[in-house]
Amino acid sequence: MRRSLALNLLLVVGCLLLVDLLLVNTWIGAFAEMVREWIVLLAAAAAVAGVIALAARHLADLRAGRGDRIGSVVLLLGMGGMLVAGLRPGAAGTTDPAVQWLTGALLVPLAASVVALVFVFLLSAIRRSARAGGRETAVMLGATAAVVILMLPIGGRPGEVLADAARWTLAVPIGAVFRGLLIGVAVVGAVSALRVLLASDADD
Amino acid sequence: MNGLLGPDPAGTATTAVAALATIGTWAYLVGARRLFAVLQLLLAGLATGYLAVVAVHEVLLPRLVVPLAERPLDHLLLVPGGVLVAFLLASRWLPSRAVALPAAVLVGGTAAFAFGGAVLGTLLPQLAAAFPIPGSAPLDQATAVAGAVVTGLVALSFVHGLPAERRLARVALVGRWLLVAGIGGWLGFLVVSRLALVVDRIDFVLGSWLGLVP
Amino acid sequence: MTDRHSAPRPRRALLPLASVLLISAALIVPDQALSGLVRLDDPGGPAAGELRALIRSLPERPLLLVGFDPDLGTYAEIRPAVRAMLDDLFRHEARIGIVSFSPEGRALAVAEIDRLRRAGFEDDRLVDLGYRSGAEAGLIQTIELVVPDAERGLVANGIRIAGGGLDAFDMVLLVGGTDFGPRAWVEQILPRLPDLRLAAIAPTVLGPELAPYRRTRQLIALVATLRDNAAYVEMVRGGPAPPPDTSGGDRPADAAAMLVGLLVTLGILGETLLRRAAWRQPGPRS
Repeated sequence: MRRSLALNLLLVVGCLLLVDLLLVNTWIGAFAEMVREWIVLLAAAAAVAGVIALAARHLADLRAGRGDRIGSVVLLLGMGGMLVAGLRPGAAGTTDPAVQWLTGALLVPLAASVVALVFVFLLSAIRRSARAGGRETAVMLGATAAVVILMLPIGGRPGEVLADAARWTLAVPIGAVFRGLLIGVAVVGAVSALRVLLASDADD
Repeated sequence: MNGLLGPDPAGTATTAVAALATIGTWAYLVGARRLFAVLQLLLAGLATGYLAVVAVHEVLLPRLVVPLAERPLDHLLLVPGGVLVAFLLASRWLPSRAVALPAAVLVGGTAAFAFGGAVLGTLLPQLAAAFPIPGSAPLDQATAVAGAVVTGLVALSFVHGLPAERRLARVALVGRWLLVAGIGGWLGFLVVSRLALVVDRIDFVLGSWLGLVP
Repeated sequence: MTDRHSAPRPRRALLPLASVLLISAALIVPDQALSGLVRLDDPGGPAAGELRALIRSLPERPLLLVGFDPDLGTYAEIRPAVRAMLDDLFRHEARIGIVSFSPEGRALAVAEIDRLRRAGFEDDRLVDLGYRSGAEAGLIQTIELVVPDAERGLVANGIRIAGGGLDAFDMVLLVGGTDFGPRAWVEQILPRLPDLRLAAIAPTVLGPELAPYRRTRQLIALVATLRDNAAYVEMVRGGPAPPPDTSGGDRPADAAAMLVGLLVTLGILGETLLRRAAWRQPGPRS
């Protein structure tokens, strides 16, 4: 099967960066640094491309009169406001006071509030699991309850006992499980990365 | 006061806006899902706008556009990078074969970093750490041995579900149960972490904004 | 305007609302009323002491890099500890560079740098090293060069004189998040710079994932539970000669409020497990 130019480029880039990790060589290092610079630029470009695609989609929805029109307007206003604040002529980008105001007044509180709501969603999910899932769910919930008990912020000697037990639990049993998880994920990740580099799953 | 906003009148007004944003989001709890959805779209717009600002102002302009515009002959190696960037930005209008090139650089780089980091940064050191330290106290050695057994079982659980010899499959099953318990423990930490954020948000509204918290 | 999406049934909204009200009530109760009954920090835990000792062991006028990549949503949990660390570093006459590799981290870094500048820390103590995109690629680039060309202050020049890259620093302190955290530094930088000293402050949710890296000493200090974060703040702010507090009194989550929330959680967990057991019991045979 003939590999496309893109797949060959993928393999060359991957091998170059891996060789640079393993060997100290001036020429390889220079080429690898060039590729890293391209990746830095492309990552930024991918972000911009994503933003353009999102804006284009919502503008198209508004023109066609489909979807949530108020929602699309709000999204585009938020996006546009931040873009104007940060990229208008003379603006200082992320350090511009207008950008900092939008960040402090809206971006951070909205994000923090949503993430905090996860606590409520977790409690709801726990309650709904009463009739769902097998024994694994019960084991999981039991372990959750054990950790929550250990994390109770109680004062005095009982609190010290709980804190000591929580520290030991994190360091020993949970630490051992997560070490195994990290090892397993590292092996799976390494194999997956190799498969990507060799494009063994690719459709040409 | 979370200190992101100054104590001056402008900061006080901004605190009010932030508090109202918090209350508006949490109105979901009393059924105001429409308001919640609109605020989430506002969040999405602000976040993506910020992403573009940081990408353009801190990366693309100073590291690509300005060097190529001011001293192109000193930055010839940036030219192919610039071409790839242009392909990516114009991806909506270009054939897929052109867009595949910058994607290949990104994917190849990501895969290489993932492989190298996983093997050298995690796999080898964690395998070494799974074993007991020679010369340590007997209780520490026993704990380390037990930990190594747990670690091995959990690592082997990744073969669970794959075709495997029966004994290995049973070992993987034990590891899977340990993994489930470990994830349950992690869920407990997640609950604590998210609860701390709830407390912070309530403290912000009641304390920083309304001044009710002593 | 009617709500097109159906509102949750009133009963379902009771539990979250009751939880919020109880937590609010616990927050309003003065700390003195519950003195001794509740305590968030872990005074016996070694983690906070290790970080403190590490900072105290630094040479005179150390040069430190802060890899600042918390999440917008979870920063509140570690914010008091991070600010206590920064105040402690400045008290030790540290020169600090702050760099971010995630957009969220950059947003929060800008806010913190602005706050520190308002507190009087200028270019002789603090340099904004900006944002680096490309995640791992951007991170690896900082091995050779971490200072943007445009930066001209005393700290920036000090970094250049010391080499300009990561090994110019006496230590790297990581403020972790789920998007880009200490694990990326361990995996990408330590294989290339094994002698670089990495310490981290991270939210509780990352504790289990990062604990193995502490065990291998790839992280030489790790403060990654709510208790350890609170203990570290108490150690810095409550010690005999605390540094000037630039945080405006920022403190960890209220212990009483946390206790109330966790008891609600335990109640729900217990009720769920009992209902599961009851539901799975076989019914009477006919």
